[in-house]
Amino acid sequence: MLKFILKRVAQSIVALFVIITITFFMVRFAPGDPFSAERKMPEHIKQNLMEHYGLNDPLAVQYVNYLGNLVQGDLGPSFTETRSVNQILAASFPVSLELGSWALLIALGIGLPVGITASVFKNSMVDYIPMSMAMIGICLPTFVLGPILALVFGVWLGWFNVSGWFMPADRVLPALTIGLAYAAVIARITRGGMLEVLSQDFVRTAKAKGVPFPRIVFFHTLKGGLLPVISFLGPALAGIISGSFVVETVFQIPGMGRQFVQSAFNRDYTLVLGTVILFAVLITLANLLVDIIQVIINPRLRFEDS
Amino acid sequence: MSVEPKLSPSESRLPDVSVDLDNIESGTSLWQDAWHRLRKNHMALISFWILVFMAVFCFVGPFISPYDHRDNDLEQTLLSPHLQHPFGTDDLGRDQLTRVMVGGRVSLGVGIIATAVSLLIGVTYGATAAYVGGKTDAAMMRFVDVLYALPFTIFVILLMTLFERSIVLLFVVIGAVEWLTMARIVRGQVLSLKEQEFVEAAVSLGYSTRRIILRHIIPNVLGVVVVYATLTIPSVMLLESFLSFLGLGVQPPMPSWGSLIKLGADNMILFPHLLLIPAFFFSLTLFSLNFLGDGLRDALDPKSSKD
Repeated sequence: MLKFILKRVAQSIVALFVIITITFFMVRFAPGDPFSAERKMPEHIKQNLMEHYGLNDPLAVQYVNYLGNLVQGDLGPSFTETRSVNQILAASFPVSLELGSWALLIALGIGLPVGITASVFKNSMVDYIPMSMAMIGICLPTFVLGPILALVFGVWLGWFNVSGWFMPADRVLPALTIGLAYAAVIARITRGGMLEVLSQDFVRTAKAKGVPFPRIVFFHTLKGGLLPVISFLGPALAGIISGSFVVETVFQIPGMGRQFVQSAFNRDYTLVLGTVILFAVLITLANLLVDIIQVIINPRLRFEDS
Repeated sequence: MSVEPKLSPSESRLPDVSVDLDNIESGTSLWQDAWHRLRKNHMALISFWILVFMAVFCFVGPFISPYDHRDNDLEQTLLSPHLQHPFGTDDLGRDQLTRVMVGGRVSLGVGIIATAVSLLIGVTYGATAAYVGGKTDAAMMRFVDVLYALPFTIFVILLMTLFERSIVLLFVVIGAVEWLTMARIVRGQVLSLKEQEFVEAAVSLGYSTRRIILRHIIPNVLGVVVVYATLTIPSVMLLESFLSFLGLGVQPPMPSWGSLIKLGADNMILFPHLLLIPAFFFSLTLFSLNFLGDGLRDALDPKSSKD
């Protein structure tokens, strides 16, 4: 078990290193520089700025310097703002974290009960109707659902603000926009996983023994039935992050998603890199956790590697 | 004693049996079977006809429309739907109906071409890996695993912002993301087919490798490929529209459903039809493609259907 965890941690570190390297060189090889988008500035000032930020050094030197600072947790200065990248991310990360947590809570809070009910009452109305709605939820992209929710509940009904991130109520629409789509996916996965477990022999044996059906569902099958959901949580987090790019733009939320798109537009090298690194760390960490939890819950996986 | 033996009842039935055999031989192929199953699936059939309508609407419509999608008329901006402009006009006075048609042409076109590209790469890659097998296979699939683990949306956004935005880059970027799943699926399929009895039978009958690949492997992989191609088109369209919504996809004046939805979202408080109409067309197309894909999967690959 410990060997497995160590192996996965080593893999994650390699993956992170690859992502950082690709991003670093991709950003540097792109045409233009952080100072070309702004008003025309005199050449000597630009040269001074380039010198100041070390952009005139050979690329290899810049790369080594960057990695050196990164190991110490320093993501460098921003090229377009007076704050450092660390400060900018420290301000926007909690916002996105809150949004993502609400979204995940909605996704699990709706998806799990709906999926379990649908699997237990297979081929009934509580199966067909929610599952058809789930299909709609899966097909509707965030950039369609978001504006429509804002139009209906913000503009027409006036229950919520159309955009902003000030009052607690401002969390509702953005979190729903991201959460509903994942609720739909989770409902489908839960239903599939539960159906597979419910059709196994030990369930029949339990029924024959006279175990009450609710007890079979919650004590015998839930753990096995939810395995596919757990393995979906890794990709789901990546999806919630990419959903945040759109949702934070639509609802004017000062989170990492919107800030990432803006910093890429502004060619703010260090800010782009810093954001990508934080995203990558989050996704890698989530995948790592999911893998470890899976192996703990599902002993069959322990034999796969050996 | 008569020399002529009487025909036993079983022998007299022989002709019937041979007729049955004929029926079996000329009978149901994989595709005919699939077609019969698909015809019973009403959702899939309705989706198919909606898609036919969409294709005609988007690809033929712009030629019939009296307006060009680039013609602005600054005296007629942001009109509500009426007779001359059934979907109203946008912020530059361009006819919204024509823009929705052309936007659909762009979105569907990108969807189909990028899917074809990813199909070509994915099928070749997956089939090669499976057929060569051994260390090459392991190395090739490890590479796919590594790519899978990358946060692709982030790289796609980076590429589209940092480099000169063009439709070619859009194809490259989308193709690079979407071929991975296809490669995995095709590889798995070919691997399992290689081991099956009918392939073994064909080998023992002395058929050439070429014949086995052409007559036995490819037709069996084709079904799965068709299904996943149908399901890849909506995910490609989603990615394209997602980028266009962020202003990173197709560049103006060319519209796509994503950029039309963005314009609608910006003006929705006063002019909700600008949001609702393109959103409706886009969502309907995505639904139809997904339902048709699901239907095709159930029809072509009944074993893989979920319950």
